[in-house]
Amino acid sequence: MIVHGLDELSRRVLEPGLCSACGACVGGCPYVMAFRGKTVMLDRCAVEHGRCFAYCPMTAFDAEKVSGYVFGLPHQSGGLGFTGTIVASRSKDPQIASLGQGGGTVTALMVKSLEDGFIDSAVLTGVNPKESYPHGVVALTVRDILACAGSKYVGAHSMSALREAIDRGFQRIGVVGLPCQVRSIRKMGMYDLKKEDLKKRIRVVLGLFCNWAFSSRDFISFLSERLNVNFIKKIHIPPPPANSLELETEIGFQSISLDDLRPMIQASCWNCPDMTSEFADISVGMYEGKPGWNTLITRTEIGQDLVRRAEEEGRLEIEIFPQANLEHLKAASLNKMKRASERQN
Amino acid sequence: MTKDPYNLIVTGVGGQGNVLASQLIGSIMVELGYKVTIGETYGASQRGGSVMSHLRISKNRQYGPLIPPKCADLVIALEPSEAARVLGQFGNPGTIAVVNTRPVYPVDVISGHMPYPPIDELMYRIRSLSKKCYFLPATEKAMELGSPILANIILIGAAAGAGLLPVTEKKLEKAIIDYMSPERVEINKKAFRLGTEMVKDLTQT
Amino acid sequence: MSIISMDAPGKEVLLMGNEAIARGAIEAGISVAAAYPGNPSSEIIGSLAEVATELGIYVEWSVNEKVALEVAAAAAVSGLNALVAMKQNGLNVASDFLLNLNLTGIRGGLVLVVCDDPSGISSTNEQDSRIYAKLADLPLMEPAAFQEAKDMVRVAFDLSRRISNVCMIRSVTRISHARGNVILGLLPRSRAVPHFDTSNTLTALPASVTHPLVHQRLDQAREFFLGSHFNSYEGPGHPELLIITCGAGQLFAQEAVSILGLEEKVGILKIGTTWPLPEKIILEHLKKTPRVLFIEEVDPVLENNVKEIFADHNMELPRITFLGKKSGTLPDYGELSPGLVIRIISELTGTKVPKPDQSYLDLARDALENYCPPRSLAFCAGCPHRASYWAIKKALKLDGRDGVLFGDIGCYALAVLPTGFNQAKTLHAMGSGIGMACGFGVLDRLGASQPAIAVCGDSTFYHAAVPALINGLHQSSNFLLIVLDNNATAMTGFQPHPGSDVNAVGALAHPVVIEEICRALGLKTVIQDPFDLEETCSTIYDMLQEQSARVLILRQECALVRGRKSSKRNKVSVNPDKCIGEDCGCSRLCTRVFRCPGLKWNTALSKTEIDEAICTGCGVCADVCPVGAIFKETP
Repeated sequence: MIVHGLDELSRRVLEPGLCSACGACVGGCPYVMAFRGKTVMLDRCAVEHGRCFAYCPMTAFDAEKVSGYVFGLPHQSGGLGFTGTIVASRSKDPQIASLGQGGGTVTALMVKSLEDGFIDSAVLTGVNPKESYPHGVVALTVRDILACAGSKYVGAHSMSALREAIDRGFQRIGVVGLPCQVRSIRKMGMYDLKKEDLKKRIRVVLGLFCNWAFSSRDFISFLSERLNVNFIKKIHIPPPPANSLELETEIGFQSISLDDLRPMIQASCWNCPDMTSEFADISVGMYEGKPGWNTLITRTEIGQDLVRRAEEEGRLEIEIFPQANLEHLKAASLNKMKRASERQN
Repeated sequence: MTKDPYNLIVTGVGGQGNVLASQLIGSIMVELGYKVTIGETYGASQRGGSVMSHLRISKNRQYGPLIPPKCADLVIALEPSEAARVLGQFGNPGTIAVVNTRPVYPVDVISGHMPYPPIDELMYRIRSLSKKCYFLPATEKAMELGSPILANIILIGAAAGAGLLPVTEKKLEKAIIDYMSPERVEINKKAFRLGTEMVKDLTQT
Repeated sequence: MSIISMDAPGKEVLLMGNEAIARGAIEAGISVAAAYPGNPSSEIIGSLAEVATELGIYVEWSVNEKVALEVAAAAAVSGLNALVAMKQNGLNVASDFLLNLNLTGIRGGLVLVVCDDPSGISSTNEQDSRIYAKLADLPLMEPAAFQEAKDMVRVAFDLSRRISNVCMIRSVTRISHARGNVILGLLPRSRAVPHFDTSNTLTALPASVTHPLVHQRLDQAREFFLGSHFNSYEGPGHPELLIITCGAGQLFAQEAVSILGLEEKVGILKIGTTWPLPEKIILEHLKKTPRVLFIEEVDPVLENNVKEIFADHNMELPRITFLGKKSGTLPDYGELSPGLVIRIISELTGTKVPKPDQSYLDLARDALENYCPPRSLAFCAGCPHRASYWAIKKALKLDGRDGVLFGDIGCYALAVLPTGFNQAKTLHAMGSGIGMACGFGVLDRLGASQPAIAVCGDSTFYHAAVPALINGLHQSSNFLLIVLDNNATAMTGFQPHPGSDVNAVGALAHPVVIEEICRALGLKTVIQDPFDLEETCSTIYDMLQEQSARVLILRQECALVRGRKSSKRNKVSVNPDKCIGEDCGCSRLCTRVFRCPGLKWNTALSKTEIDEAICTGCGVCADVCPVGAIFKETP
């Protein structure tokens, strides 16, 4: 990929509305800003080869090259990407399990990594009660991590917090991200335009399963008309055929039809072929049909190692992931790929 | 000043005291019995623009406020690239130039949109467009005296010292009292004197 | 002590054209002078204001030109001599009143001086104001030089009293702002006491009475101009080319003929009384030439008027080739210059223009192309407008609805340029920004989705903004008015305005407070310091989300005004170790985009530096720097 600058990023991604709000371009310079869910270009930049263009998952993504970089192998396009192990998992800590979206696996792994010193900081997605918008968080304590538990279902510019962690000098950063965010993180490690030692400093990448995400501005605005969004404790989208989004709030449950929400899905999501964060060290998603549990895919040595240690230390409970479910998962993932390739043509 | 009309251009950047300098010279020449016309462009010049004052000095007639192209006899430049601009339009092989060497960078240069010519090349070009050329570090000397704006008086002194203008310290003093105030006299006389000395020290080119 | 009030008849001094006009008015015994500042006219009232107290005359900076003319007219209908001065746009503002006043006439003397700005060097438009004289049936004179400027004003007052009507004088930049020799005349010994004769009414109707009357008065002026020495001829008895010129054209034509050595072949008929035209002298010279070249500033006014005379008398006249703007011989826009006039006369007469040899000309062209980078207009270092527009720019981007900023006149008009980040999308007349914004602010009813912002300065606010503001409020228009209040009429030279606590002559005045006007109208009015960038941006953003007419006053002193009174606000410095300059993450935001002249880019070191000679210490750049490399310390 030829690395261009902000003008080209704007032309290819921002202006056509193909930004997934991953946040990779935000926070590192005064020209691009995340503002209430939107990526805003404030001025033109004269840098010819910029980090914004290089790290953006939407400018160009060479799956072969990234696969070589992450796995040392050619790209596996068979549905789930390159996989090491695929299991079912949940946190053994009841508090973490209850805070988590499915089984609390992501939270448990991050807590363990921080407590071990395996990481010195965790880049997660949290919600600022003052702003009501989900956003990136640099978590430095277990409490910080617990506060970020739960799916947000929006593009939250979370990678701006990764930029913050890098600028603040953290050396062993753990990151949780959506598939597009994971792709940006891998591009960061590969290009590392300003030689910030990113390959080494980004210690472990935990990817989430994702079919699509809402534009946070549209979503929050929609919800705000129905309730005070600060009362929301958890958001959950049950598997088909439910076709709904469930809100667990301080004052009870609410259900919203997905038909009402579909217009708010980010345009970029329809171009994305990656459902299971194929380039992460570990990928975690819901276990359809088994509430309270996660599907857990390990891909790299680092990922496998972390999961193994977590299980050995009694942080995670691991079970076999049945073949039928695996087939179902693959089919869903291939479906997203098909959707994306149809969109490209 | 054998030529009639004698065409003098004082040029610089807005805020350098261009207008005042031309007024002082003009009023002195009127006192000496000349018909003087001074043409200027200002208004927006405070805000970083080029400023030119055209002085037409004649014993015979009131001339128009602008010098025709290629007809300047003397150019007093408070800024070197303005000297080039003026000589490019109004210079001829007989023009004499007295030039302050300190650049004032246009905002377009500062913002990196274009380069400012290297000073030695600029001086070379100015020399090639004039019969004789006096380069003076007038701003630096003016700052030593207390304010960069005194550069204009230093250059008037230099022109007078080189025999290019029939301006004396005494005549300047009267003009300063008329156009500025009595308190300004001493420092301006000092600047004028300094200019006359500086030009005598210079090897003429 | 000012030269224009000097009691030294016969003394020869160097005066600016505008000063000569002021001196002429003084010698003619004016009692009242009023104006609104506008280039190139401002020094007329400016210099009269300096000597007003000394001479016992009344001088004011009025809120706009219509009111200025009305103020002068009040004096003129009360038996006094009054002068009003304005630039071309000002005459447009005053025209409604003028086109009534000409029909009512006056009972004293009133001279209206209009100063046009050919090429619009410091204007928003280019315009030839002389047609107003024909439109209003008023006599008009155009000075060709400085002594004449003074003399014409004296004659104008004399004529004005004789015909009981306004007399106009039209000047241009090259006369008004240029300086030349003037011999001072006598100062008046006494002045009339104002009195309005209430036994008679002044109305412009019925037309059957007033319209013929104004024509009669114009005929009186025609008579008066017949033998005027302001119209003169120099040249051979039967020139092969006759130049008919007026105003600034004369000196250019004279010098061109001289340089080309054409004194025996080309004649110059200079007209000073350009409306009504002195037919006799014109006909006399038309009879003696086959070719006429018209040289005048801006439009072919003299050209067309002479052709009317030719048409009326064509039976008695030979065939003549008329050359000028209509024939394309001279450009029909832009100001005259010696080079242009020389070139045209040389082409018409087949004479060579003396010039240096080609090698010199090549060097000269090289100098112009490569050795003098252009100097675009820029806000001064420390100008609050730079900070205001920076905040507006960011707020509009964050708002994301492609908001439209309607610009207005003053230093802040530079927002149409990169120095103001190209924020202003329109620029017309005084107060038009808010007028258009209030018009745009009702288009949401027709489907528009872009928010409307208007900017205006403090002086502009008083001049023209209030009617549009009232209109916007009444029509429930949705727009944000941002008043850029730097407490100055800066662009024209810092004249006082109704918000000042002193007036034109330095006496105490009653300041009219902008926010009090806005609040009295019931408008939400917020006041903010633009140097606090973050707060200002946030306020603008919030106010953009609101509906209805609302006002934000960004109040901070003009850098030039402050610079005269106090030392630098802060000491500002750049830490070169932190400055990342051209790198990804900065891309020279401060010098490339923010563009304050106090910031220098050191190409050799690839770092930004502060230019101590220019920096005023406002410290805004410290807040702009994305990596905190710029420091401001309060001394």
